[in-house]
Amino acid sequence: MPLLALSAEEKQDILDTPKSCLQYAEFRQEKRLEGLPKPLVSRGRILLDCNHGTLWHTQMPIQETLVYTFSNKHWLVKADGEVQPIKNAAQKRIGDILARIVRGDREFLDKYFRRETEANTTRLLPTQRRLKKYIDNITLDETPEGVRVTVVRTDNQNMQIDLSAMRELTQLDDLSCRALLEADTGCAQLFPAKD
Amino acid sequence: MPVRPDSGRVVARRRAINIAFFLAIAILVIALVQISRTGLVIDTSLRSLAPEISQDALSEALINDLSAAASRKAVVVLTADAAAQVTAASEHLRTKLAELETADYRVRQADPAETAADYVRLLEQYPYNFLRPSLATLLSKSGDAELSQWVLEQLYGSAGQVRLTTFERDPFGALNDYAIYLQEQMSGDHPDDVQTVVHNGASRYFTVWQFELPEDGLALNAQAEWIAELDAIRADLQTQFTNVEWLQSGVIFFAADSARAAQQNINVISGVGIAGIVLIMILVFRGARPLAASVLAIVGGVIFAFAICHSLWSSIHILTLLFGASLIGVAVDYSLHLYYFRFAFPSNAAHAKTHFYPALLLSLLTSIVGYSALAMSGLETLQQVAVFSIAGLSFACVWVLFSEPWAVKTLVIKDGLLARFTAGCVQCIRPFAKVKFMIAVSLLLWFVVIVFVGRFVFDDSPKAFITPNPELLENEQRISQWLGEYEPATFILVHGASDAEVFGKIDRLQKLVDTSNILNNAKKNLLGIHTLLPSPEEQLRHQQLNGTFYRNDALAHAMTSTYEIISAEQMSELRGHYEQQSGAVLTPRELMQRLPGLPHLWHEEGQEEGQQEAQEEGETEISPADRRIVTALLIPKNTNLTSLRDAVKLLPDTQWVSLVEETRNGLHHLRTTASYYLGFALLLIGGIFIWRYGIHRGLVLSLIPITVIGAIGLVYLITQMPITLFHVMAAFLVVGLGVDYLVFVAEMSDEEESRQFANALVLSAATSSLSFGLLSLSVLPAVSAFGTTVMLGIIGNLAGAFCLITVWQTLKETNR
Repeated sequence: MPLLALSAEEKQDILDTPKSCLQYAEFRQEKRLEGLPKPLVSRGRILLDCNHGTLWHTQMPIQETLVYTFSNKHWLVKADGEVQPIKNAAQKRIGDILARIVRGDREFLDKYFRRETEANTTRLLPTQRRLKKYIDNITLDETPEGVRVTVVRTDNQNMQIDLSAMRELTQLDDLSCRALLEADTGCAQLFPAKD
Repeated sequence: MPVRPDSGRVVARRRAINIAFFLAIAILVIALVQISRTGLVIDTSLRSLAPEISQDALSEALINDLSAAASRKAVVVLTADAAAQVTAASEHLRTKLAELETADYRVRQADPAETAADYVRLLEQYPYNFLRPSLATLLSKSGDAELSQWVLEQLYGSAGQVRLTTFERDPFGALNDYAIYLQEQMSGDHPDDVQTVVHNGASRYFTVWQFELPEDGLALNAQAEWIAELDAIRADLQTQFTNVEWLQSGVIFFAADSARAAQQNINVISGVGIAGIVLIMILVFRGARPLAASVLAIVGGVIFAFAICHSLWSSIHILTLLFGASLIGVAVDYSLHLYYFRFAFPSNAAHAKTHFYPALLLSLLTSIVGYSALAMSGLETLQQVAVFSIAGLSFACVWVLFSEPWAVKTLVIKDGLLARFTAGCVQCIRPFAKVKFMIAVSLLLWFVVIVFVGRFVFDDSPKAFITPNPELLENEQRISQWLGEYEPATFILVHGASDAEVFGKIDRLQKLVDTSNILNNAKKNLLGIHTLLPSPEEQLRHQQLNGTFYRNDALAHAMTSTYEIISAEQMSELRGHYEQQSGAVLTPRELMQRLPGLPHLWHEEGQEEGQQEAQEEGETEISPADRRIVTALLIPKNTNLTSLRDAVKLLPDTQWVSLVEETRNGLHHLRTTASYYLGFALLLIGGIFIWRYGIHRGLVLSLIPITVIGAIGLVYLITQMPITLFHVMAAFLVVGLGVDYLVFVAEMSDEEESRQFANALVLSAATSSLSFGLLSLSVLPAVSAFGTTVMLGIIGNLAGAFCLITVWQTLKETNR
């Protein structure tokens, strides 16, 4: 049930409609920091393979790729190709939640969040103490361009991700991944060569 | 109505008994009120059994803190042959724990993130002092472009996805970068990570679950609840995931296992002990009153002892209860002696005898002396056992005297069979019951013991306390091997007089360790204050390096113009704040005070005084002479301990502490000291006997406990049973109980009915044997050692008492 595949006509819970397993989207992220008057804006592309994982490729103002596999292995691939495993538990958790939202993994999300649906908005409220400490809620809104994901944090350092140009893919592998991202960072991690 | 000449003394005695009884009741009520305030706490900690370690007070406080922290941790590992099975079981466990957390369960996962978050708030007060090592290298070597790129990655990239610091305090993200690094260092194994290990030649996958026990985690009730909750979670998980193995490690599991064994022992000892005593009382005295008075003496004594100990220590150790259960056999002795005495000399008789009372008091006194010796052991738990026993026996004695008029009102003794048995025993012993023969036996025994003293087997290892459950031990060893955690009972202590000095010594040790490949642990290094906090010098160096961010014009231009993140005014303010903070340093002392959740690796004293004096004298620096610092370094598992120990020896003021060795040395010291005290106690008792009964009789009386102790020694020599501190401590009780018998024989044998008191002694020995004999069957080695020794002592003492009856008769006839 990938979230990326939702169309503007759907008026129900954004997470409800099952779609294709392979997805592409572009993102614009706004990050707010306490004490910083205006948000930090970055842009990039997302690739989803519901069997393998998610790629977050930031194109500007810096270039880097985050690889979140569903086998719980996460990497940061820098512009120069340097691959760093992500060790920080909080960073892994946040990345995992975002990847699951993009994938539309209801089973996972229902374990950790209570869902509220209102018009075109779905709100995820954390049910566990550990998540509640960091996340107040996550809101999923339909927009004319696609979907907006807003992460409201308890420390007000909120994050808003606008997904647009969303489309289903018929095929996704290492080669097509590189072509879609117009870069070759991270694809080898998500689609490792078979021996 | 004629008035008996001694009626005044009888009334005074009765009044004194009544006062003593009501005083005891008043004390009991106060103690019970005290318990109602504190609540019932039964301690099962094994640490409190070990002797105090031979360190200075500062080091000891540090080690106690570390031990307490280690004992409050528990680890569960889920493991299987396939990663998918572990992942599924872990997901189930995670959900289950989250559900239970909201239902106020005691079982809660440890959350180092909380302490890490508090730490970050503290770091923000020194925002320029901390740099991740890689950033420190970058700042000292890289140019403008690399610096700008790094800052942009922190702000826009994934590096800044987790933002622990505020922009105002940390505009370039350098402190956030350090905070994340610190969080990684402090978090340890995370249950989200499925790890792999080769076990018995095959790959095993596992996840690690750390639990923090509540403050009262080792109290019996809290422990039982915690274990029950965890067992329920385990049962649920194992029902659903049959291929997943559940391993667990932690002091609480061993403590709970020992407590369970001790509880079973207590139930058997108290159950069988009371049943046996009730049977004996019914068979011999055949009346409700003597039975009720005896049982009340036991029950009252145990309640009184429990209340007193609990009030004094605010808790009671499970081992105290176990030893205390053996009190049943001793407490009933007073009733037995009283019934035999009153049967022979009814209180309404024309010439009522009163010599029983001084004998009873002397008997209580000797038991108190015997139990007091336990208090000299230096082990708090044995001190508690001593107080428990003394309080219990004293109450039982007072109760027996108080209830005397009621209990002996219709007293009947039917002990024909017992009398025949006793007479038979005395008859058997008669040919050998000669002073010369007894001296020869005693000399022979002691000659053999002294000649073969080198053949005795001694055991001073901590295993003298408990035998760990093999399954738990296997779990513990596997987890320890897989996780490569820290040694729980071996530390390195570093002493010094200033922060810089201590950090310098740690640095030297760390370099030595790094170059010699001692640790053999890829995951972990020595954990010390240097892991949690950079040295003052390092902090100042980081401050200097941080200046690169604030003085770099290219970066300022990128921030203010290219990316318009902040204005030029804001940049100027940030530079001003950086300059203001120059020279500020976070000290280990402040860190420990502000973050109680961190491992207490640093203790110091004298600083406040030093600060005060320094302030008075207008000095800013504290004189090193005023301060004493000790800090601990934790050693990763799988370390080559011998090599590390050798390395530690090379460094000044650096000390190797092994609690197992310390405990062994402590137990050895206590055992040898106790042996000397035992000799001294025998001399003292000999002196008392000579003072009361004259030189000839006194020496004969003294001969018996000396011979009994020698005989027990010979048994242990022949059987090659390893002798522990508990065997020696039990020998004190043997002496106390033996003297108790001898006093009764000596005091009562002037009367014609003295043979009847021999029956009382046999009954007394039977009840004591029942209790201590059951103790000797305990699965806890300490308890078993105690029970076996006292049991042997009771047999020896009874034989000695029989000899004495005959010898006494002979002496009396000779005197006539």
